[in-house]
Amino acid sequence: MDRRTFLAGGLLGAATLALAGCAGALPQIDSASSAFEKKATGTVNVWCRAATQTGLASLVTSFNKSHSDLKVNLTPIPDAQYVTKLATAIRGGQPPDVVDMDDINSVLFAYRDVFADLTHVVQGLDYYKDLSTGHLDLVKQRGKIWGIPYLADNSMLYYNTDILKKADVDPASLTKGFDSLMAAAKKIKKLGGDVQPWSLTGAAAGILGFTVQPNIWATGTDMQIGTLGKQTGHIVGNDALQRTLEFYRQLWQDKLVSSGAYADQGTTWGADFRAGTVGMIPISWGSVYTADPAQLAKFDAVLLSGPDGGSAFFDGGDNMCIPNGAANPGGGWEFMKYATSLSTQAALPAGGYFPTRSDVLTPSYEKKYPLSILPLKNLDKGYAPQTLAYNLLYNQTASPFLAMFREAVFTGTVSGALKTGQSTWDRILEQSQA
Amino acid sequence: MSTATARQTSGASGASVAGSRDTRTLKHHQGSVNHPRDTRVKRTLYVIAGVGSALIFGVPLFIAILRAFQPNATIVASPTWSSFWHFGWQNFEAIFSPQQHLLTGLVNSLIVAISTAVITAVVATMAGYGLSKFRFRGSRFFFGLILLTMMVPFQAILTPLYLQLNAMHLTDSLIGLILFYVTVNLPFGTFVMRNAFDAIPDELEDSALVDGASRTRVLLSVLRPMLMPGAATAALYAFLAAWTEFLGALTFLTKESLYTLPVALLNLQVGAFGQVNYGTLVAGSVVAMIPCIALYVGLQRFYVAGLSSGALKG
Repeated sequence: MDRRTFLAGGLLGAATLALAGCAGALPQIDSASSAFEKKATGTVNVWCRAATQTGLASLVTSFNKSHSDLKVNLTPIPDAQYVTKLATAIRGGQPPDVVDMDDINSVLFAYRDVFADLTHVVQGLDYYKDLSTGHLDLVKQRGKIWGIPYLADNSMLYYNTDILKKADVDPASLTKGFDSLMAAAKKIKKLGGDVQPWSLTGAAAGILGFTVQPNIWATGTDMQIGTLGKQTGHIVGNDALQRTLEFYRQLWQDKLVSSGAYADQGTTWGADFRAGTVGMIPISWGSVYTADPAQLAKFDAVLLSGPDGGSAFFDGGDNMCIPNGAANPGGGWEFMKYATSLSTQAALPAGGYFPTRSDVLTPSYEKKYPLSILPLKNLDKGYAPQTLAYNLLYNQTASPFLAMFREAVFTGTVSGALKTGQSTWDRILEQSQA
Repeated sequence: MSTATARQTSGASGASVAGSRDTRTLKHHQGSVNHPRDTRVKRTLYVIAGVGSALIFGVPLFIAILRAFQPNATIVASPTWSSFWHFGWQNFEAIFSPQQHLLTGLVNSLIVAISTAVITAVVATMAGYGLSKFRFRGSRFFFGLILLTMMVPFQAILTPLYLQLNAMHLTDSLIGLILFYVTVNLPFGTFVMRNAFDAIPDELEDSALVDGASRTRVLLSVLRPMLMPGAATAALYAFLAAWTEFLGALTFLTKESLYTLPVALLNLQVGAFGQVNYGTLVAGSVVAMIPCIALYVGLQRFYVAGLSSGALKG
């Protein structure tokens, strides 16, 4: 573990402890109170993560233009520091009015009881039934709703139709399980030249968590089991996980991925696919849509499949929540309604993200953004793990998921990696749930 | 830290090269006993080592400047001769667009770094004077205590620091950030300045006092020229630390209009899942290194002397 990783881990741990210490310290906000009913005025301080700031900045500009007596101030926070900074601000009694955060981290804050209870107003939305269930499940705890989905960042298996056609691969076969995927990859390999069948970022913790886990979820199982706060690892004996690791190991051993995959940390994720030199890649729309229009026209996608079929995708993206103690919760809710309005949601794919409302699907929308409709038509296949230790387990460079993946695929054996992973999973979960 | 180490190495090697040149000149004047062929060999080796060192430090800077003018797509793609010549201002236009607030970040960083450097140098000078030239009970203990604080990374006490600054209404304030940076940099500054004072003979100060000069006069008129290397070292270290510091600025500031350059740059460069926009990264780095290089070149003379003073008298 290098110094940087050690410090990052320490900071996250300290932030979690600080969060635990501050639970309930700020005045509780309830959306059923009068604060949400009267017309909001003044200023709303909104925090967003840097990765989604461009879209948020445009949203804030249009919001401020359309609201004469309510203004939004937007503060972007680097993604990796978001949890630490928010926990510190809450501990200091100075939270923003709205936090637009990585939905995977909203679980932790909702669990620690630091968000306003929005059950009343969220359930009162006429599009409540159309909201992304994967996102919503992360902020549904103890029978209440602590936030609202804003944008979706979904992992799917994108493919280059030109390459598949040349290799005589039927795209429909990509949904039928690992054997079909392997056969497709081998056909593409035969094309030769600089075309790679599959693109893999083998040293990128967050990306692997985002793209590999749906293969496991497609079978209906997860890598953590038990109720939130009392979970244990489901590693040894997890057949879907074992077969997924074996699939990736086979891709590596048969040279169906670039030799650079071993050290690829994902800083240029998708550049090879956008350049048209890769047949298949599990990735998000945000790393695809910037391709040259001529290339983009060649791309299509399917949901990620399990070992024997089935399908799933990662319901990543942002949830918006109001921290307890916020100075202007009514104004915050006004902004959140604006952010989830139909016109705002329908424009999200232009900035690299998908909507979280399935009722955006109209013929004109489908024609404009054909690659975005699959998750919206399959909301029930979307999932994101509900755990208090997601960052520690999956996102950090020192995460056991990355270590297990690398040992299983590149350096060791699948069974050895699973055995080591089980004990690490249990230890981290035990510590984070204490 | 690595940059600072590199600069130290560079400075030290520069001093050593200068020293060897002086020695050679002296020998020449005294009538060198070296064979002319030996001299030629040494000179050739000197030129090779000098050019090699210059390349080691210069080529990365040159590449960075070159890349700053290339689009991100070219930087991350496999290098080809045809795409290599795609130069333009797009990265600089992106980082200096009004939506990105990078110019504000640049100004904020300059305010914070210059203030930190000046205050650190002044306070460290006074602390060094007291600890070196005034005898009082526990002076060694206090000096040790100050040095001990260098062992505690501020990251480990970030939350208490935030709470303390917040209680003093110094969060969301550049003044608060400056005070924080001064506090973090003072131990090293005090260490350097105490050693700088130790290197000055007591008799010099005594004779000035006998001549009727006040303590302030002694410090400002008599000792100042000899203290400049140490003060410049303390100031330069404080400037560079404040200029590059990220986590404190991110934690203690929540208004984008107050963000310093490292925070503003990171927001620009890093996307989801750790993806990096290398175009803006390298353009931002080029912008960020300009003040550092200017200051380093300006203070280099003092800096090298200050470092060696600290090394010998510690």
